[in-house]
Amino acid sequence: MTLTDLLRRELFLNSFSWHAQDYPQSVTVKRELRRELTAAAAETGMSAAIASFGNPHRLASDYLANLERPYPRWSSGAWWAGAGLYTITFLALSYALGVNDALQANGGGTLSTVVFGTPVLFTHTTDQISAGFQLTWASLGWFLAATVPLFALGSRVWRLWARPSASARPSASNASVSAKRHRTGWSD
Amino acid sequence: MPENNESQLLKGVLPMLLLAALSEEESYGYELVVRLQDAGLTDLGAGTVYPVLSRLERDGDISSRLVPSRSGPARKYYRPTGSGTQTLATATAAWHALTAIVEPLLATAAQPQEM
Repeated sequence: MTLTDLLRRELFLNSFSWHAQDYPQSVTVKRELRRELTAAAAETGMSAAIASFGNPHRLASDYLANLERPYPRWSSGAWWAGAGLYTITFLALSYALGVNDALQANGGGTLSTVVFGTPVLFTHTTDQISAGFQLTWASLGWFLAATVPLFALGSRVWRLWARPSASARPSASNASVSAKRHRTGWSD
Repeated sequence: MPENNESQLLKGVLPMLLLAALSEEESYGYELVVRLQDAGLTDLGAGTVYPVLSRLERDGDISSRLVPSRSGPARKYYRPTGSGTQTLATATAAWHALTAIVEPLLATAAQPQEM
């Protein structure tokens, strides 16, 4: 296999993997798809093999559509929580820089204060420019309050309690259900 | 017929078709796709078949085994289990029952109405 084919295969699989993160055995499926893609490529070439698998997003959707119920997206949740953490860090740094600028404008010195339950000490002298903080239970509480809801929202954690739904799932017995409805006059 | 409806129709019967094809002869994924394409499902892609194979295997309707290949990696061959054979029989009977209802209706609709 050429390096180009290898890269194209892995690009396809990584895209699939991202979109199929809800799938319970996505790592196993990815491994199987890698084997199947390689096997197909041995017969038709990598371009045709990848083309026959279609769009990786669509493929992932088809795998997910075959599940009995939706599953949480833990990776998305981690990304959301990470984005929240990044935002908090950015705001904290901006605040620290602002306070230090204010100290400098007032001739320097130190400032001890409490921000969201976290004791903070700002110093701006000719020898030292610093911002120190002390972790407390309150600061941990604020941290969790800012990240846990984002993680829960991003991961769609409520899916843990979703009930199985067979209505949209293709199965070998779909025809059976359809025929029975015709005979009995059922409708959805 | 709009392509989307056609695709949904195919998805509805695909598990039955896969079980039927595997009952005839065990196959690995890509070979199965080619067999179904040769049978007339020319637009069928591997991406449509693999999720259904995965579902059938999870449901215990098919089993698989790895067979070494001289060209490329080992192939994963599938074949129906006892449960899958039973599922196929049920689905086939239901399909015939459904077509017995649908075909006369379509034949009537195809004939011009007398005024």
